[in-house]
Amino acid sequence: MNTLLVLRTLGLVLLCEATAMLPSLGIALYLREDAYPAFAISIFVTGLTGAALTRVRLTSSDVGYREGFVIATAGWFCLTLFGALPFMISGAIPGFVDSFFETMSGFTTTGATILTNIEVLPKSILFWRSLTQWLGGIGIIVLTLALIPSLKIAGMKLFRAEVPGPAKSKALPRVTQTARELYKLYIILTVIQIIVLKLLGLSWFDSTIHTFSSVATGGFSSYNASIGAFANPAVQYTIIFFMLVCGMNFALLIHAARGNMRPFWRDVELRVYLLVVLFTCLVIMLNLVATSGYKIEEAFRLSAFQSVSILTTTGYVTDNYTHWPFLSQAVILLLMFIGGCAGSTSGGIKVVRHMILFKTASRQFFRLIHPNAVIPVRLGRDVISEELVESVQAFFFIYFALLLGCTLIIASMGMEIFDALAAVIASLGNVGPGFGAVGPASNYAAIPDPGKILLSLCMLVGRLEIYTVLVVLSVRFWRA
Amino acid sequence: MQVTVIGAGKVGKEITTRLLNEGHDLVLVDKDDARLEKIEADFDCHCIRGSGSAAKTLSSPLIKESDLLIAVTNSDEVNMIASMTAKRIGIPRTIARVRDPDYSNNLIISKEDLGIDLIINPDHSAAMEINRLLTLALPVHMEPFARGRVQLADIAVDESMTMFVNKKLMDMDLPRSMLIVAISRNGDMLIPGGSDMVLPGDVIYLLGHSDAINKVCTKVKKKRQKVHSVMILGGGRIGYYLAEKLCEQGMKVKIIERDKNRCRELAEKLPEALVLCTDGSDLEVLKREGVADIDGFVTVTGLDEENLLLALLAKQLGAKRVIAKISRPGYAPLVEQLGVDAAISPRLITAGEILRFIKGGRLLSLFLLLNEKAEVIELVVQPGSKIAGRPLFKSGLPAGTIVGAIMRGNKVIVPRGNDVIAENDRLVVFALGHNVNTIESLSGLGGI
Repeated sequence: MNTLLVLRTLGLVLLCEATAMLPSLGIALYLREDAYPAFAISIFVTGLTGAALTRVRLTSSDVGYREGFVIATAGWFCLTLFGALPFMISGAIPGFVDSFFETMSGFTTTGATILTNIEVLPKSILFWRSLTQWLGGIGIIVLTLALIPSLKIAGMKLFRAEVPGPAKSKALPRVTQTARELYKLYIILTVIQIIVLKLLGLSWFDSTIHTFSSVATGGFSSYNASIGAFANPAVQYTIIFFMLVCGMNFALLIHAARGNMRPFWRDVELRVYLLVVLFTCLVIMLNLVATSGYKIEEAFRLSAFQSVSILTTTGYVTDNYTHWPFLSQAVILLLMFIGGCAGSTSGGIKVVRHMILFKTASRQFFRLIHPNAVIPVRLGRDVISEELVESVQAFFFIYFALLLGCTLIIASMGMEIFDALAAVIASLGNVGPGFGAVGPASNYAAIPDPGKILLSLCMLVGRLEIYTVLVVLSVRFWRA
Repeated sequence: MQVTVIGAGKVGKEITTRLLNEGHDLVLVDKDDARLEKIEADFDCHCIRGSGSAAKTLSSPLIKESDLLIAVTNSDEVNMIASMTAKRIGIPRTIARVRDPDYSNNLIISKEDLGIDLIINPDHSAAMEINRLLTLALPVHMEPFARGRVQLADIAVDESMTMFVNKKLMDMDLPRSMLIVAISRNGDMLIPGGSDMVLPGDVIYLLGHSDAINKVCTKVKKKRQKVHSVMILGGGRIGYYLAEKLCEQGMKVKIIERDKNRCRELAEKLPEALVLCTDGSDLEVLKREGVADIDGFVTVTGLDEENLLLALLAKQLGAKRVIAKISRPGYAPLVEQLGVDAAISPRLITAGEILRFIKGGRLLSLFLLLNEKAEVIELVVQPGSKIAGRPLFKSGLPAGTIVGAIMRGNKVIVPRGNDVIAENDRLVVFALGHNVNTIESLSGLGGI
């Protein structure tokens, strides 16, 4: 293990984070808020630690898969620790555990909160809270790679540890190029959405922080009623659109932005993703119109918003869906297990994994009829390698094992079984709001501290797609 | 004409034999000394040991003077390089065997860029031929001539065909616009006279006006149902090409191949086909995969014996139409007697292609019958040639030659002995042995 290199990279990540806190400090100073010393101290501490770590002299620049996994896991962990400082110091969120939970929820773009009244917080703190989501959307290590190409730590190994989806691919030949291109697209989407929301009548502040959490498919809002606070349907449709786009594979978006639309139209995952949106949207809409007497437009807007928000694991709400008919609730619950496309900012299991698993399962039936048949698993025209199929199968098993295991632990802390399950689903899938006690109308404040820590870890495991974190925790990883 | 053949493998040898018989001068290039020695002993040709792709070898004076270079080594790359080099050093025409479809279908580099005049791919040709046989509407083998207006058909005669069986030719009630040009009996080919009898088990060759041939064929056997499902034994190149072609037409294709890696490759390339990784000679597997209800069963493994026996087995199990690939022409006579519906020889098809190419514009088409005992050629009678203006019986055409049809303008004439051949007539000639050259020179094409 190349410890020095890991430390140096962590230092760089922390320096990036300190820089990212600067705008919040600016806002605090500009608005003369009490939170500015908190930011000043946090920036100082984070920056100093980062600078100290980057002073480490490297003895070799060898990097292996292990280093990649350690950097990703430890990087996100450090990021959350230092990112929690402003909340703690300013007193906006009292207590380490709560601050840690909130920050982890931010960086992993989960959007689960322990805050009961968001609206009273200082704007600088709210800005930082949303910025953590924006930073976590594409990934902080990808950001570091994009900013510091001199970090010659053989790209793919790091890239692999952070970018979501079962089969990682680069849109461009070099990882740094890919990382930059990803961020370019991300920033362009962000700017466009801010301007559109501003034009629709939101304040600069509101449009910025809601953009941050919608392009990152995070879900933090500055209002207690989330997006429900904006009555303007156009605002809601805009947010639906950007959530939907950011739930798509960014590699495809990059190709499309460069004028190469073929991969975009050809992608089977994207088609299934859009079909899922369309289908759930229709089901919920009809269900709402039929049983709860909503008007058609309103029912459509609510169902479209909620299905996109949950499918892309954003977690914004415009209505308390726990009061919807049971069918709609069940559909929402299912969406939490699906997630967006691979290579997007969304969390969850991802559409493509479901597709691979479905194909593998249907192949099993075929094999019973033709025992000698050689049938590769295909997505569209591409053949999925057997290794990938196995990896996806194992992913599912671990995902559900974690889900049930954590539910057991949370339930043992005195939560209702379904509420505990919902909390774990929402954290592991980076969704945010769940059902019952952690539903859209309430929050995670009532969960005991150990439970919050466990759920924070679930978010990290979910964001880094399980393997990255679990492999670092495994015994074999450290033995060899 | 002087011809250089590079690569003395199976195809190379086949070509050499044919070209020597046609009267061409041959230079053979190969790396393997032992092989060359054997060929030099058997054939009257010049042999050079060396690499076909090396400029050093190709610039030897004998090769440089050649009019045609045929590159048929095992390696596509060597064949292509040899052709390119040959063009540079001044050999006017080249033929290369390119088997990898990635090369032959390459749209960026055309065959002209490579200096190749004709690309031959025996496996692909064989697959296309099998496909043609499978999709044919009638259970007889038909070969179109004269832009499809004249056809050659072969019919395996059995007891039920009262129209032919046990009848003398002159007693048969055949339309005037067709002829029985040959009878294949126990592997021998004979040109029948009016008093010859057709026996059960014979294969008769009918040449004539397409409409008449079609009519007779429909009378002889009921129209065959369309082929919907095909089982292919052997996942080699032929199997792959064939499966691809059949899948394109929406048929249900099953490929049986023993090699696991090859299976995987095929399964990836052919999403519509079902690839089974198992031993094709396993009767249980064949039964389980429904050989009894299959429309077409094709054996294209590397072993002639396996191909023949399994094709027979499949026929017995109930496969409607079985086709076997046979590399050794020696087995050809067996095929007809055993009841395999058709046999395909990639080498023969290739040899036909090459001969057709060499004869270039002079012969319009040339078709080799499977047992190589006969050829069907199509040619135009040149002005001032020896046969023009004479009645057929005095034309001086060699024995064992039948002019099956004359196309004059748009009219198809099935000639009798006293019909007169005119200049610019288009003839479809059925010839035994290697009479092609004589026929050519008689019709004013200049022969060699």
